Amino acid sequence: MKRAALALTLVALALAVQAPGAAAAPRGLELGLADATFNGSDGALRDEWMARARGARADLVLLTVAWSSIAPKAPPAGFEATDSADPAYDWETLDGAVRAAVAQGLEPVLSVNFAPRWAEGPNRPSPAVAPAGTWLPQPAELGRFAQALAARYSGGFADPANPGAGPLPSVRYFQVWAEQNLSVHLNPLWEGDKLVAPLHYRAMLNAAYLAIHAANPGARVIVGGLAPYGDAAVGGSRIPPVWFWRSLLCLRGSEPRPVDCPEPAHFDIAAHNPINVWAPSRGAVNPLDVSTPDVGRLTSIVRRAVATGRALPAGPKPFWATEIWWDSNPPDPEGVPLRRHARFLSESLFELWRQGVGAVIWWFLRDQSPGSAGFGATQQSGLFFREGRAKPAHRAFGFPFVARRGRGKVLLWGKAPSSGRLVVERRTRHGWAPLTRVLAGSRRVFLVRIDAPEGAFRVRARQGRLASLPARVAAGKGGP
Amino acid sequence: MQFKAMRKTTTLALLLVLAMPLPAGAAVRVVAPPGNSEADQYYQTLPGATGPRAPDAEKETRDAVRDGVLSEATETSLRQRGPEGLALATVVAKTAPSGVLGAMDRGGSPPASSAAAVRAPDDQGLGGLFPLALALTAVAALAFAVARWRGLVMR
Repeated sequence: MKRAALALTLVALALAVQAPGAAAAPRGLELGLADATFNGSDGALRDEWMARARGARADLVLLTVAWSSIAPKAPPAGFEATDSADPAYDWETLDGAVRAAVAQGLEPVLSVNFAPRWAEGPNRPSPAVAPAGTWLPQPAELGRFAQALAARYSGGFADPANPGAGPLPSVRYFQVWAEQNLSVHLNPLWEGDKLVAPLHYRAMLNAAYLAIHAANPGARVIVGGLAPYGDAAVGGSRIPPVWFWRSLLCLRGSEPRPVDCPEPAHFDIAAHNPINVWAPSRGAVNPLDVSTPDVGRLTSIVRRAVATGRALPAGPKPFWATEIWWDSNPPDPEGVPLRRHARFLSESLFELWRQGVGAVIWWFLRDQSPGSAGFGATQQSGLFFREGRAKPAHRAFGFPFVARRGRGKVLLWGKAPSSGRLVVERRTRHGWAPLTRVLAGSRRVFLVRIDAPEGAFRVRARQGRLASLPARVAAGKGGP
Repeated sequence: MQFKAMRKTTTLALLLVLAMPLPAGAAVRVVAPPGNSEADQYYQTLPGATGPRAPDAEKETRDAVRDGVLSEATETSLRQRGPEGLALATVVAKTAPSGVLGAMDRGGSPPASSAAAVRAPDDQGLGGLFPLALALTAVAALAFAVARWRGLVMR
C-alpha cells in the first residue's frame, strides 16, 4: 500500500514538474520559397538568390518545370519521351536550379506545368480561349515526361555538365500542375453544364503518379495547389476549390458521400494555394472557396476520400500550402504596410499550421520589376525589395512568432531559428524582460500557453542574439 | 415627456431596421488581393443580385472619388488601411444612394436599387424575406409606439 502511494506520488511529481515547453513536441512546419530568379537563365543571379533563400532559413524551394520549355517544339523522329537523356530535351536551366538548391541545403519541389503543343488534346481553340499548354494535356504524354523527369533526379542519373563528378541530385517532391481550377492553367473546365476538368486532371495526376513512382520509388507526388476563389456558376473560368476537390475525389454533396470511382486519384500529398485577400485569420466568404483559415474545408474532403478508398494509396495524406503571399507597400502603393506584411506572414503560418498544414511556400523571395505591367500585375510580395534590401517579412519568415490571448491564457507559437532553448520576452518601460522560457524541439516549432496579465503588452521570442519581430497581445479575453 | 418616450421608441425601431443584415446585392462584389488588382484569378467574388461577377473594385472606388461619394483624402486614408480599407471604400462606393449623395449615377433610384438587391437569386441574401421583414419590423415598431403613446395618454 505504501509502495503504491509512493509510486502515485512520484507520478504526480513527475507530471507537476513538467515545464510547458517539455510537453510533446509540436508538429513541424517546413517553409519554402518560390521566386522567378530560381528558374531564370542567369546562373549567377540564381545562385545569389538561392543563397539568400537559405539565409532566410527556407527548407524548400519551388522550381517551376515548364514542360513546354524542356520538351522539343515538335518531337523529332526517334524521340523517346521517357528517356531524359534524349537530345531533344533541354534540361540545362532546370539542372542548374536543382544543383544550386541542393548545394545550399534546400530541398527542391519540382512543379510541372504547361504542355508542349504536340502533347495537347484535339480540337484546340485559340490561345485567347485556352492559353498555350493548357488544352487537354494528354495524360499518357505527361506520364512519359514525368518518368523522364523523375528518373533524371532519382540520384542515379549522371550529371551531363560534370561527367565523372557523380549523378545529378536526387529530388523527392514532384507537384503535378498548378491551379488547375483556373482556365489560365487547364482547359476545358466545363463541357456544357458538366464539370470536366477534375476528371481530366485525375487522369493526368494518375499517369504522373505511376510514372514518377516507377522511376523514383522514394518520390512524393503532390497534387497541384488550387487557386482559392472560384465562380460558383456553370461555365465560369474559375472552379471553386471545394467543387474541384469533391469531383477529383469522387465525392458528392456538402456531407460528401462517395460515388462510383473506377480510377481513384493517386497522390502522396494534398495541396492548396490559400492566398488571402484579407488578413490571415479572415476566411473566404463563399463556402466553396478556401482561403487561409478555411483549409479544413479541403482536409475533411481528403480524409473522407481516404476513408472511402477515393484517394490512394491508403493512409494519411499530408497537406501543403504551395502558394501564399501579400504584396507590400512599399513598393506597391496598393500593398499592405511593411509591418503588417510581416505580421500577416507570421500569422498565416500559424493559421495554416494549426489546421494541420505541414509545409508552406511563400511567393516570392524578391520583388519583381514592375516594368510596363505595373505593380498591380506583378509580385511585390518579396522578403526582399528588388534592389536587395530585406523587408521586415524576411525576419518574420526566418523566425515567425505569434502571440494570442484566449481562455485566460496567452498562446505563444513560433518556429525558432534552430532547435533548443529560447526565451519569450515582454516589453517593459525599461526594455525587454524575460516572460517565459521555451524549448524548441528538433522540428523547431514551439507552442506554449502561459498565464499573463490582463492588459495589452508586446512580446517577442529570442534565441541567442536572434529575436523575432514583436507581437502584440491584446487586452481582455478571446479564444485563439 | 410623452414625446420623449415616443422619440425613444421610434429611435429604437429605426435602429432595429438599420441593424438588419444588408442584402447580399448591396455588399461588395469582388475583392482582389491588396496590390494585385489586375490579377484576374485571385479576386474573391461575393454573391450579388445578378449572380457572381467580377467588376473592378479599384475602378469602383476610383469612380466613387470621381463622383464625389468619397473624398480623395478619405479614399486614400481607407486605402492605406490595406484590404479592409479598400473593401470599406468599395462598400461605400457601391452602397451610396444616388439620389441622396447626389452625383453618383448608379442607374436607378435608391428604391430601385433596393428592389434589385432583394431579387438576389443566391442563397447569401434574404431574398424575398427582406421586404417582408422590413415591413413587419416597421409595423411592430409602429404598433409598439402607438401602444406606448396610448398608455401614456391614459395615465
